[in-house]
Amino acid sequence: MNLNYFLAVGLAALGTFLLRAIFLAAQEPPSAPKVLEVAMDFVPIAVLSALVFQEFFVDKPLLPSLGSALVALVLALTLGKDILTIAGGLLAYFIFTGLI
Amino acid sequence: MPDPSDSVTPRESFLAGFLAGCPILVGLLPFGLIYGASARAVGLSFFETVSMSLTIFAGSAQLIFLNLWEDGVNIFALALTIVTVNLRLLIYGSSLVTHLDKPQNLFWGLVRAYFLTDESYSISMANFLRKKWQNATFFYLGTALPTWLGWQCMGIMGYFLGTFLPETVPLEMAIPMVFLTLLISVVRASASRRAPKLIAGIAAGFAAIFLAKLPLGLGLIAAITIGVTVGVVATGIFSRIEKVP
Repeated sequence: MNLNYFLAVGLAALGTFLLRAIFLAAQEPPSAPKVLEVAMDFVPIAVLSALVFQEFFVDKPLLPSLGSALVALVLALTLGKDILTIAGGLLAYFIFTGLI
Repeated sequence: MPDPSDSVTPRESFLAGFLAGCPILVGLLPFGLIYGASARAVGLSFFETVSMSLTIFAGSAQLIFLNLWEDGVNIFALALTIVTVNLRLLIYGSSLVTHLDKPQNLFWGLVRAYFLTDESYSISMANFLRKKWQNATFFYLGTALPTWLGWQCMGIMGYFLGTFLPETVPLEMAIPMVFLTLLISVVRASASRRAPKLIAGIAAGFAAIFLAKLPLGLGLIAAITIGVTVGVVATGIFSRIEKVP
């Protein structure tokens, strides 16, 4: 058994867990000033946009990614069904990757 | 899925969350397989592989861990790197906690903290912004369960089947597609500050592309911070414009 490995995993896990727990485990989460309350309103959209743009456009072929994102966007806005959007987007990516 | 405005039991909330969390599996499973296969390739034992998944439970951070471990990086530097990569969880927690019920006790609070991931946060928030949920903590835990089960099981499968996996695992775009549907859902659910939110989203998105190469995954945190800052500034500008007669 590699003790160094478990020490590294243990430290990383402890640090990660503390990040998770600071707000979620608190009985009375620290109350934020007004400006931070406004800021929190933008966190979900900023997080998701950052994840989406990074996942689609970093280290991936641009045209298939862009094409499939547009197809998924159109499907989401017209059909409004998550599963169909994901399936359609994946199919579009598969087709565009083959074509380009 | 039950209407969250009706009286919803904890069990119904949990089940609704579980069903909302299932689509993410399509994209998550290949990454779990990759983790298991990579862990074995690096020379970890089965117990070492599973223990990391159970304790750290953060996909990208685990893959970075393997890379650094293989390179022989000092264990304290390695742990610090992983914590830095996961800094975004702090932002997620501060945002999510405003929608959850107060934890019954410290243990319950620690349990729900353990399950905080990109996936459980995104799926929960997309639903919480649409409507206020009763027993929101159970919904959130329901969204987390498919991710947890899928990640643990696929890690184990990847460990044993790793050598049989093709080099290019398909479905690389599945997770981005899931995040895209969640993003659209969040935009649709935005009742207030819609224009500033769109601007914030665009700013965060482009920042994420341009800052992607920052070390330790700091690009994502920087992009989120930029997006939020732009959103707050835009809110101020829009409210001033509205006040002008």
